[in-house]
Amino acid sequence: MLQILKGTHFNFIKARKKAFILSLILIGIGIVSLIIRGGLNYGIDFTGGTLIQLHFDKPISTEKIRNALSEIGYTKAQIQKFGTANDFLIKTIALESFITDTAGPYIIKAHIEIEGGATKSIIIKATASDRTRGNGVIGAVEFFVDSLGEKGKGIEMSSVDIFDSPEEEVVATIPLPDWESNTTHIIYIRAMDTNGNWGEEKKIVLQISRDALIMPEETSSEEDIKAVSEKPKLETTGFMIKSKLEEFFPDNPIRVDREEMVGPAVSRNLQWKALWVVLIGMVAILIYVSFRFTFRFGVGAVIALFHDIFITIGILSIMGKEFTIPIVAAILTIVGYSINDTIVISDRIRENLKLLRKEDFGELINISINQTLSRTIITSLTTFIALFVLFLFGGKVIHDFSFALLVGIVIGTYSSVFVVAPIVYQWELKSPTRKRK
Amino acid sequence: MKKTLRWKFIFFLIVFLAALWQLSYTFRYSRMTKEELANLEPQQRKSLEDKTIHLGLDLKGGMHLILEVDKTKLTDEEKKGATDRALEIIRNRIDQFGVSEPTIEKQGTDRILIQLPGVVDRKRAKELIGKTALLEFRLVEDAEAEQNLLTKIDEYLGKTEYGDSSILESNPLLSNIEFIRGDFLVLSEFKKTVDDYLKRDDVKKMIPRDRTFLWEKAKEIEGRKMFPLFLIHSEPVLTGAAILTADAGIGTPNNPMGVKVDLTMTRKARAKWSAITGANVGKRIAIVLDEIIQSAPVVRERIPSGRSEITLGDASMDEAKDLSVVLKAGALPAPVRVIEERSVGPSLGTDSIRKGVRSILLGGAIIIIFMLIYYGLSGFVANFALCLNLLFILAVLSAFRFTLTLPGLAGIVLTIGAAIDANVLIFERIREELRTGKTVGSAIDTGYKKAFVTILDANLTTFITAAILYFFGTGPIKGFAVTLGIGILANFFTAIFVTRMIFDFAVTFLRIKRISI
Repeated sequence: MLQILKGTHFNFIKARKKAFILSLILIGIGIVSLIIRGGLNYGIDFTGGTLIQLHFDKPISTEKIRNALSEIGYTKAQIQKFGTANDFLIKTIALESFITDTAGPYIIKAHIEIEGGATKSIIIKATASDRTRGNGVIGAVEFFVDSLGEKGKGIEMSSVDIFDSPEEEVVATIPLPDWESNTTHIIYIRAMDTNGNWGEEKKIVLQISRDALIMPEETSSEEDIKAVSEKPKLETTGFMIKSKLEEFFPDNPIRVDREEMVGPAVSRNLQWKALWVVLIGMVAILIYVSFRFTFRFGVGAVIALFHDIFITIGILSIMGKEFTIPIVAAILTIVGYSINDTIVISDRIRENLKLLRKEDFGELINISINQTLSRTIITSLTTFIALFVLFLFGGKVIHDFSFALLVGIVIGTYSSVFVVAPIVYQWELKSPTRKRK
Repeated sequence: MKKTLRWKFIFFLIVFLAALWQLSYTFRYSRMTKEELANLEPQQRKSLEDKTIHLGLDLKGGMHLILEVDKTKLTDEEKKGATDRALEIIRNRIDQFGVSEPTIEKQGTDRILIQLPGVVDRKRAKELIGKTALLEFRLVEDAEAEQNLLTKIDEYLGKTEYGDSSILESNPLLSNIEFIRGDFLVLSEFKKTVDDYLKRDDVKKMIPRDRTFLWEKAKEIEGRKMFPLFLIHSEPVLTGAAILTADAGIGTPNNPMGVKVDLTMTRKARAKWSAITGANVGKRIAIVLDEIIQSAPVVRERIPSGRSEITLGDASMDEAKDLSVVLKAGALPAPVRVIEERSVGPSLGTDSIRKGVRSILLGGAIIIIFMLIYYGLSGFVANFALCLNLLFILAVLSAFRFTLTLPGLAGIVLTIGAAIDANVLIFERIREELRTGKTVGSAIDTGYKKAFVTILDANLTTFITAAILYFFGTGPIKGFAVTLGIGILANFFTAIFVTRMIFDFAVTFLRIKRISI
């Protein structure tokens, strides 16, 4: 029969101090990398933002895309080549502007009053509504006298209370202009909602007779004015970037392969959830291992798990990989995998405790690890190969996920041999539970 | 021994055949062309699709959205049911969008999950979803006028389509329309044909400017799905803003068990409602949500109080509730915001499947060769178990309608690892036992016994992680947890039961003295 290892007698217990030092160094490097990089490189799952995967018909350089993007205002967008020279990932913290309201409010009612006194003034009163125009909050109302100017350049009108609803009563008072007799003047009023849409203006015609100002009657629009027939326009970050880039590179058609948008509420939620999932997983395993073996093995296993998680995260940080939800799933899987290895060895130790009662505890651990060593190596190797193939050929989308699993399998295998059993051994040295022979 | 072995074999055969049978649907489905699929009866197609492996949006392509209902502008009373109203509005729109198997469900109190699989015009889908609801009351043209106009269009189409000289009388439009109990009905299969005719520019010119053809929601009539077609006024007489309350109830004047919706107008709209109903007694008023007629009741009398009662004939209470929700939605549109979107283009999805499957096959092949070299004939047994494992995972996925996602493919890869692990544990134990000089039979027996506990412990912990991921994860991650979990269960069956059966068979029936392990 073919055998990788034959009757090995490695002294793992003796090597435990070197192993501890190696583990500490690995963890240390990870921490340093995290500090230098200012924490984990969180993906949009945790930061919120938009991620777009674009496919260009012809190869293009990252530099060109970056220049084009900064010209259209996405200066902080991250651009990453994704496999080929045609595929790119663009990440921005810009959230999708989901504009469904593209119609401006209209003026329902308007009328004008004159205030007497030494200096006469005109009071303009109006009601602006966006209710049937997208139901946005009224942001501003303005008016012009005689000539209609540019949007936003008129004289401001103030709300009777504050601008906080889709329908607002507004008012403005100006000194009565020096109008000549027998002339006609027009006051234009228009409103804007908080989405920046200006509505159409309303005209009030004032006639100045020889000796008095003729007030027009209160004018009002039909109450159930027809809602705008204009279709709402939608600009998402993805579409915007795509169409703008297409303008830049007219001879290079673009296809959006993937678009992910995570809002801030969702990302906060996901952060908590990810933390909880890993913690619950650890606690469940601690309970199970303590129940099946001893509490000491449980503690040893959980320390090994933290060890695996820290080192994996450290290596991901060094490699500049992004921390996303699939990575959290990968970490939890590593936890499961590492515990799997630990259990196989612990099982053997438990069995040998019955068989080899006279053996020294350290030697017993050594024998157990050596007995299971070929299994440990074969299993890790086959799983590693299968994942490595997935890492190489499984496509870019799953690349980081399989990378995290690969790292985890190596670390998990290492920790179940060099971390768990030595911890239990060290503990046994400090406070023995076994009767001395 | 021989007897139990026989029963074991029969049990295995049943499970094996059931898995093959289950997978045959997926196989058949994947071999079918688009035309063949289109030719299937809708029910046949649905039952076939139900039994095939469901691919996640990351593999199939499609759109995943989570919406949040913005309740900030609503009072506490109005907040109640705001999500249901938004959901109803969105369902109303998506039903018309023509996506097969959309998912629209409530998540928590104010979130809505929408999944649109397949090729989706994302821009249009989002526009449809995000639009503020528009509910209107519009007058319906009487049946005679509609009949006349339809006939006129039909004659015109007959001429243009078939030429003047056509002796054979043809009715391109009217042949698709049935007139049943005062309604013009079109079978769902012909809806598109009729729609296309009515949308032609030359036909549009024949329709008076202030009139429009609109569809009502699908109705079940004599067991057939039909869409009523109405000719209605383009301008509304009132909008949803006029509605104060709308409640479904039971008990109408003519039928104590009939369902109804009680509708109350706002104080401001009462006079207008009174005038409208007064002027249109005996005629119908359509309740139109986003250009789709929800109901077109007949006005029985002038309604001065603002309190109307819409009787729904033989409709169910659910339909009445839906209508009341829609009516309330018109009065209190709660805007929705997209708070999460994950969309995958179809080409990326196909690419992911191809690459994922290819890697699984390649990785599997390397492992199979390794096992053959390392364990000889026993490696062959392990490989058989491995293949069975994959078969069972896929069969269980399709039988229980779980979704296969891209991380799910990674889960399958990990399962391959775990399957090999179980066999390695067993084989290494058997080798150890053989080294102590035991006979093949007893070495196999002790090997399995000793490895069993280890395999159980090791697999259970992985199963715990899979279960946690399943309950806390979403979408693709759930898919990963599913394949990992099923894989472990399948693994248990193949490694402990099936391979043992094969070894026992070899020992009992073939009386082998040596084992290639």
